[in-house]
Amino acid sequence: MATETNHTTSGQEPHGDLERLFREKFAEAEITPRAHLWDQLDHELLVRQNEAYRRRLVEHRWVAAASAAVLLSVGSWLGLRESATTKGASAELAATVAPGSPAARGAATATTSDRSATAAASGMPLRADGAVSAGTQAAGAQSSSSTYASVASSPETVAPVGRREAGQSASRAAVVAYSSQPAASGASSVSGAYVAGSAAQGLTSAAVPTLAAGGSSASAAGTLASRGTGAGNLPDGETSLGGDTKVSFVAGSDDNTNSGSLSRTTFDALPGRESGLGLLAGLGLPDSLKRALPQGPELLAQQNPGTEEDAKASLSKAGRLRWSAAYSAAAFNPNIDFSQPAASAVAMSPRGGVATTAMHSGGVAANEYRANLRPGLGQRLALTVKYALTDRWALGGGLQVADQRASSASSHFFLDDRDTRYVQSNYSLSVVHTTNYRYRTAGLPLSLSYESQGRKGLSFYAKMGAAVDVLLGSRSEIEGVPESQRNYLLTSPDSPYRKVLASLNGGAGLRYQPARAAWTVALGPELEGGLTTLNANPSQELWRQTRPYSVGLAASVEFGPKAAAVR
Amino acid sequence: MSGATLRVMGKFSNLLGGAGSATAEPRISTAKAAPVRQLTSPAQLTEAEIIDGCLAGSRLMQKHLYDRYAGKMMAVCMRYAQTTFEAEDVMQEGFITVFNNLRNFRRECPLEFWIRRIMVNAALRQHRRNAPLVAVSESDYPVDLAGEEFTLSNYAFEELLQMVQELAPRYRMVFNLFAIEGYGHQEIGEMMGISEGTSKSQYARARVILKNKLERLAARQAHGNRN
Repeated sequence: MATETNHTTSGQEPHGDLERLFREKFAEAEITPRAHLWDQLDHELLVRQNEAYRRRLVEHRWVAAASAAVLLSVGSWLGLRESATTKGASAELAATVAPGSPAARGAATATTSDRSATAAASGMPLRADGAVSAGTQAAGAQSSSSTYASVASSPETVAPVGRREAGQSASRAAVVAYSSQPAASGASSVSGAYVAGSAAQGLTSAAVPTLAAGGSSASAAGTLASRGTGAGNLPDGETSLGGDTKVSFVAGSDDNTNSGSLSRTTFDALPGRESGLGLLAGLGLPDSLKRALPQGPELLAQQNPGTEEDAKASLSKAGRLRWSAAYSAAAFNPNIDFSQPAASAVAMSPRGGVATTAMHSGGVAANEYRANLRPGLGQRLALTVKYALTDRWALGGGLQVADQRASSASSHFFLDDRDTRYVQSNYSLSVVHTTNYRYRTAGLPLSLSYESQGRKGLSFYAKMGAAVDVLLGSRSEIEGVPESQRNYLLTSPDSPYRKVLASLNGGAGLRYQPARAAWTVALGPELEGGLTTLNANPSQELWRQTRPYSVGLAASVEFGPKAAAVR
Repeated sequence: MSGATLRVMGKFSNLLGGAGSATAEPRISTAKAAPVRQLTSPAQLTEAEIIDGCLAGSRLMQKHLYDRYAGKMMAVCMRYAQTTFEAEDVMQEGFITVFNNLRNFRRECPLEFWIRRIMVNAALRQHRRNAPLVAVSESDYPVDLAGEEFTLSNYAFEELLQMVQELAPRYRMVFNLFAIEGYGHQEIGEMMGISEGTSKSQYARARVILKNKLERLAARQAHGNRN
């Protein structure tokens, strides 16, 4: 191999081999680069710096979106937990009613009453004068009269619990009972107080009083409601609150459960949730999450002379609005668990159709039904309008309808929440019968989406949101047994399904907007998880309840301004 | 001019690197002179100051670093490239790598060596992108590589650079890495993704080509001197 040699001697020119020749000549050589090279390098450094900032910004936005999702989830969970506390107290009431007694028939109405309590604990407005009304609305031909009681109490009655307990005898409720009053405009409107409680079969009612106190919190109402659940132990519907505070009511009508107040109170609680979502979406970004540099890839776009005019035009409010229609197809799993604790016996109640003598199955049938529960096709059509908060974030709301199906199978002819084997002529435990379910809902979705609005070509989008749906109707049928079909509507009082459903959803995917087009198509996977159970009366603890979910694909088309909505 | 105004001017001159206040003396003796940092020419900046300035995000210091090493690095890149444009691409990529990874420089060796190594790596990446590898058998290279001597002063840098640039890309890479940078054939093989024998073979061929060119150039020079 070549070796370096140095034959330099005094008086002679230096000599060397080929390697030394090149090494020495190249060692200290310098070539001045062209002047524009630094400008190119400077520009390239700036572009890469912007890209780094943009990546960091995207990371921050994902963190912010995740934080919002966590906040939303925790908030919803806390809200549900609070309502479950009230529900648990009402369930205790139902358990104290002796099975088989006439009062047991009244227990069926407790479920409706505790829903009222749930609504009351969810932030309903409360009165300052402490008026409590417990009444029963007339329902059906049988109910030609209505009875309601108005309880006028002293201000101490509605004082905080601690104050009542300290006072021991500070408050006494004066009971003024009105009997045999015509079914006028409804007891729920008396003195502006919300009505809770009803009497069934002329016996004790599971009254859930909504006590009012000016400026008091919803949790205070929930506490009072819990204490009110002792009504079943007292004769003549006398309810003891906190020992000394007594709220008595007279319940003597033969009316069935008043479901009207349920619907009203439940819906009244919805605006509070929606406003909470709106507040969440309106939170301003901290400085660290704002655009680090005013110019990102728009550096090139600025060289387009037409862009400036587009940007000015897009600053108008109309330019921020985009209309969207979306269709999603998903695998929907109702994830219902109808199993009941062995101790809770539920009496038979009249039902239409074939299930006139249906019995509630405590375990085997429900477990078999759940084990064979299979997801079905869930389709949703949504029309929304989006408002661009920034050039990346948009808030959307609108209307959606859904048709969701599922199936299960059991050898007990399990249908909805009931074991109907005793009413089937071909009853046989050795044969498994498939049951098909269909649920139709309509709701109000609210979403927060992250997307590159106005970006031509392919781009990424992600969204998360919440929705409140109303179960318009459900249909269930055992295959091969057409007479077993059951249909529940929104107005059906005995539906085993929850009528108002809340859910969270999220999705991500790709969107495509052709150049110079005002429309965008998007496609991507979507997940949805229920915040509430589909069955109306789950027997499990809140954190053990099973909630519906769906996984599918969503496609949407969006119409809006051609240029980016916000610069 | 009030004292406050002068203080403002002093701060402003600081922002300008002290250039303004170096010549402007306060005309009011009662005014307290603001501390002024003397203007330092880029040549007076130490290597550590430049590195610290770059790490602080100073674009000016990045420019100083570029100005200080651009000439030498351009010469390096020219050796590995066939054209000036290609060399500029390599150097631009190399300097971007330098600025993005300067915090990883451990200051255990002169900065120039570190930058040179980055430039060589950038040239290697460029070579991988542009030149498909051609397998050469190990037996293709001549065994006897040494024996000749050249008078160093007879050859100019530009002439030698042109000879190297005229080599085939793979020969040029191996020759630069072995003869100029001092890497061994095993290292070169790992860097270029070729075998050690291939590296030796390509170097031998490059050397033969260069030797012939040097001899022809020497003959032309001798012929010219006689004329």
